[in-house]
Amino acid sequence: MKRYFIIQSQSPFNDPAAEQHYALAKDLVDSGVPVRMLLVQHGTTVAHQGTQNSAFQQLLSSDVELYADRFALHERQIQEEELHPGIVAADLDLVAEALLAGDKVIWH
Amino acid sequence: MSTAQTLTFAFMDPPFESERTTTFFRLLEASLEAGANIKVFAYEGAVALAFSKQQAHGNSVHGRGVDEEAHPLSRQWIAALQQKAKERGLTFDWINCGLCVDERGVNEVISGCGRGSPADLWKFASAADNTLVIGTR
Repeated sequence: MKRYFIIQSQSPFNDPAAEQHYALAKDLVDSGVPVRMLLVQHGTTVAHQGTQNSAFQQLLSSDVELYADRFALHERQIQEEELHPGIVAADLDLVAEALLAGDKVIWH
Repeated sequence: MSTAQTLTFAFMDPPFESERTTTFFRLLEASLEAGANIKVFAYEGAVALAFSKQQAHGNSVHGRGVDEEAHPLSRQWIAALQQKAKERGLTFDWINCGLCVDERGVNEVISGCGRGSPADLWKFASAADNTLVIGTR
């Protein structure tokens, strides 16, 4: 079965379309397709546990595997221990591995 | 000839504008680290990434000269990735969309970067194990 790997570069706080991308990931995983999402750039801001966004909260409670780009977190002074539970800090080698494994990789 | 897997990337952001450009170059490096051959199709503003006449500058407001400012240039990042691929026995192909180049007058590109058309993206994607399109928002 194909897996999806979504690179989410937008934050719901500056691009409402981000919430549609969260919903897409959740719908895919609810239909039985494995989905991973890597938050990059401003997309990482929602990973801070102090943020509140209902669409992202639904994503957090889904089976989508969530990662946040360590480089982008560092740029924004977000510590790994400040992430919402369930989000794992990662590097871009995760994307390279997904591409080489044949995952469907989508940039948002 | 390299027997490694090949990844194709399509990118359209210009240099010095967007955080996407930094992420894109980091992703290329990560892919080389993972042992992949790389093919890049640059279009729209991204054709200026390889422009050979990019010049670093100082920062007179902060009193820093060219060397101190260490202004990053995308042509140097591309050259560094070309070198990294060579050292690892991997390929690193870069094609600029010719019409996009002409529109912007950035015909002079660094060695190893070529000129083509969107048909090259199709050829790159057809020859690759996987393709990632990074669109501008």
